[in-house]
Amino acid sequence: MPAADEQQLIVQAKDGNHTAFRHLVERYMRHAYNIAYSFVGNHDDAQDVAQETFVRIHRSLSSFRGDAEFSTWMYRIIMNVSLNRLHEQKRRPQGEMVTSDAVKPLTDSQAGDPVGFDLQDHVEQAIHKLPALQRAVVILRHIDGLSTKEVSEILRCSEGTVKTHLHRGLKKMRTMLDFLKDE
Amino acid sequence: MKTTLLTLCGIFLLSEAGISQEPPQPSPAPVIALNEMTPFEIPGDQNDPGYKIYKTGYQCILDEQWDNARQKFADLMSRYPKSKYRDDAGYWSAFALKHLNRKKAVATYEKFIEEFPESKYYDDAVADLHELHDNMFVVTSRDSGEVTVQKGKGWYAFGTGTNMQNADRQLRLSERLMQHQLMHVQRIRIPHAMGAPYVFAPNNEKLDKETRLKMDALYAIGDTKEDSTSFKTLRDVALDRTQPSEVRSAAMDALSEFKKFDVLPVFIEIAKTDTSEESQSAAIDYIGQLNKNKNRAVESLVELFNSIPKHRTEQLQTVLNSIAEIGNDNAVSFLAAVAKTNENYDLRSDAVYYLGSIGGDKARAALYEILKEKRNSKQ
Amino acid sequence: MKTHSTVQKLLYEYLNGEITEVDRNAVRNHLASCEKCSVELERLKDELKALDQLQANPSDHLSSEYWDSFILDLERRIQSDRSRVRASVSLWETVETFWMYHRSLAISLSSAAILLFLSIGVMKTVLDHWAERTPGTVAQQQAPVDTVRSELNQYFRKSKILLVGLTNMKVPEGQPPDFSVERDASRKLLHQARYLKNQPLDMRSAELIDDLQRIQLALANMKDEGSLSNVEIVNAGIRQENLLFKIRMAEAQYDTSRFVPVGNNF
Repeated sequence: MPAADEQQLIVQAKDGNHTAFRHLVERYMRHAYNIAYSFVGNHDDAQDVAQETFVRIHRSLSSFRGDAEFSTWMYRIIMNVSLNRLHEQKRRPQGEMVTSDAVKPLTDSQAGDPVGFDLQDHVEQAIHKLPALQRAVVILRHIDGLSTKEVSEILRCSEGTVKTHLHRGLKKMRTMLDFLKDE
Repeated sequence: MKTTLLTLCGIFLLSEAGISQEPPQPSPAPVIALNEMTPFEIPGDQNDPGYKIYKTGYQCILDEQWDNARQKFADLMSRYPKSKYRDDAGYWSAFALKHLNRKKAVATYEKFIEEFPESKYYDDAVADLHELHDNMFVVTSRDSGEVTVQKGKGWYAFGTGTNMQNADRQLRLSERLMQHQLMHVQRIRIPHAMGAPYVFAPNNEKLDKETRLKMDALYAIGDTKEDSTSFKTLRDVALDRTQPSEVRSAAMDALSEFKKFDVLPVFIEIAKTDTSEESQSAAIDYIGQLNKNKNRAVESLVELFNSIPKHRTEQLQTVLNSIAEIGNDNAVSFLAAVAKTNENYDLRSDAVYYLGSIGGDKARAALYEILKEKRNSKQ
Repeated sequence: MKTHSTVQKLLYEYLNGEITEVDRNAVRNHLASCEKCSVELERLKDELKALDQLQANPSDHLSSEYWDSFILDLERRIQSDRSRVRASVSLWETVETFWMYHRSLAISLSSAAILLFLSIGVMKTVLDHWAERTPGTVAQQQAPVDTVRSELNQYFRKSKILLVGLTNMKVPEGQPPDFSVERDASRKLLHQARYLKNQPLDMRSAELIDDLQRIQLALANMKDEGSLSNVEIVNAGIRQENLLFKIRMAEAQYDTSRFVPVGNNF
């Protein structure tokens, strides 16, 4: 989306313009939901995380200086909220952690390919078994397609750290997938 | 007027400020604490032991613990049969029973009305009893705004027992309540955190775009400035019989918000002379909701009531409902007259219900008189 | 010369093309002669392909009605967040504080009444102009309707109990009247009212809640001593506004036990 347009929305929203804020939400809500979903793995938590993100954005909008991208800032918040949620998930009974809920669809392309479907399921399971930070990097970097630099800005760490986390995350996933394949 | 209520609350709080200015008086000997402004002086025992139990029972009612409440009140009535709070206990006991066993509740309410005709709860008991008979299931269809009703049980204790006519009457009362929701254009207030504070939800989803646009425009007119141009525009649309009924309803709705203009004559004209029954009903409803000129509104509604042919029960009921909505002394007088003398049984029992709902000394007195007569005539 | 571990760390960027010219050449050279790392590359390719297959947009399967209700829920959360985080976020709360704070001051009846009246008048005007007016949007209410309905139902039910008790109140002789029950109940109802006012409501219910809030506010601040006349004034207000009647009509509207909306359209 054009940056100038968004800039204007942000300025207006900072001034207390409710409609502008709503437009921002409308632009990003699906995206926020998707990112949250890839972290937490189920609809209810994803919805909650996404909303909590916007609440926090609304709360601290006045202190957003605009020197970073709005989306970077948003990602950061989603991450924090998601990671908190993951901690809470750990405290829940194990059965809830890996969910295939009603929202996740069985797409047509996969319905006819039993092997493909299995693999996807396994891959999702594997991602959700990763430690939080590695999961974050894998998701942001690969699923969301952000550059190393962008991820490092979000996580406030060096690019080297990002690469390391990515590497380790992928490696761990492979170990889990191998294990699952052998079952 | 809302300002009256606000002023009253303001005065109350400030008088409290005034009173709290007085330093607490030391009382060396037990003295009956007389507040010279209290209207509640009732001679009796100095310390009514029932009071405390009553308060705990009342707390249970607020917490919706019906069984506990009933126990407390039963306790009160058996231990302190002379307590001033017997009728309180009796009423709230019946009230609690409503949520436990409707049939027993009906009997308990009837007993209460027999036993405590002087009680301040008399009107509330009458209204509650009436509602208990509203045992209807209303099936609604959102698309067409239609209301289809399945009957449950419904009979009116003060009448002649099980009676299909009574059931039908109950039905229509329930239908009308739903109609307030379904048939008229509903103005919805959306919290302003995210933008538009007023939207409307036309209940007929088959509205075409042009009609919706018209309604939008009408609300926009109403929302901007209250001047004679906007008033005129809205008034003309409301009176224009060639317009679709939703558009006219939107105009009426916008008009009803006008504070500086006298909108009553517009609604009266529609109520009296319009060819569409729907518009007439809408206008009658809006008259009931006006905040200004209540006496004039009641007058017009009474006039309307008397001019409607006697067989048009539904319309008569709508008018009666609006009069009840205004609920001032004049309204109470009229309702009392209807309850006593109208030949139509349905209208009489509606009026009784409304008197019970409105409450207050005047309504209560009227009710007592009416029901006493009923009781005497039964014997 | 790069080590295996260094090369492997670069494989991801290598596959993505996000790698410097120098590094790319280095990796390519290494792969040409290293079986282990080549296998590693192939495995990485497979994994990334599998990752790509993951449902990237679960949001695509949510309806537009869902997103409408998402926004409405968000509104509510923002409102309650605001009142939690900020001290006196609404003028209504400022007025509350004013009343509680100034009660013990010596103010003459008339001037304070005017002041109060004016401040409420100002508050109402400000609140009216606060919101933006954008007519023409059709309200989508499907998702939160049931919760709001039952909350409204409960609010009206309890408010009615409060009003009936108040209008029929008898004060005990020789005992100080006890308003703790009414005070408590009013505070809870005020809390509920604030939540409800942030939901989309029909105008009549919204106005009724406004009226009830004023009563509840007065009760919440009521002291036990010397309040009998105040009760009388509040009762006069209730009669004036015909609140008992209105609350019964509202209760009937939202009492789900009486009216059962059945059918596919709900």
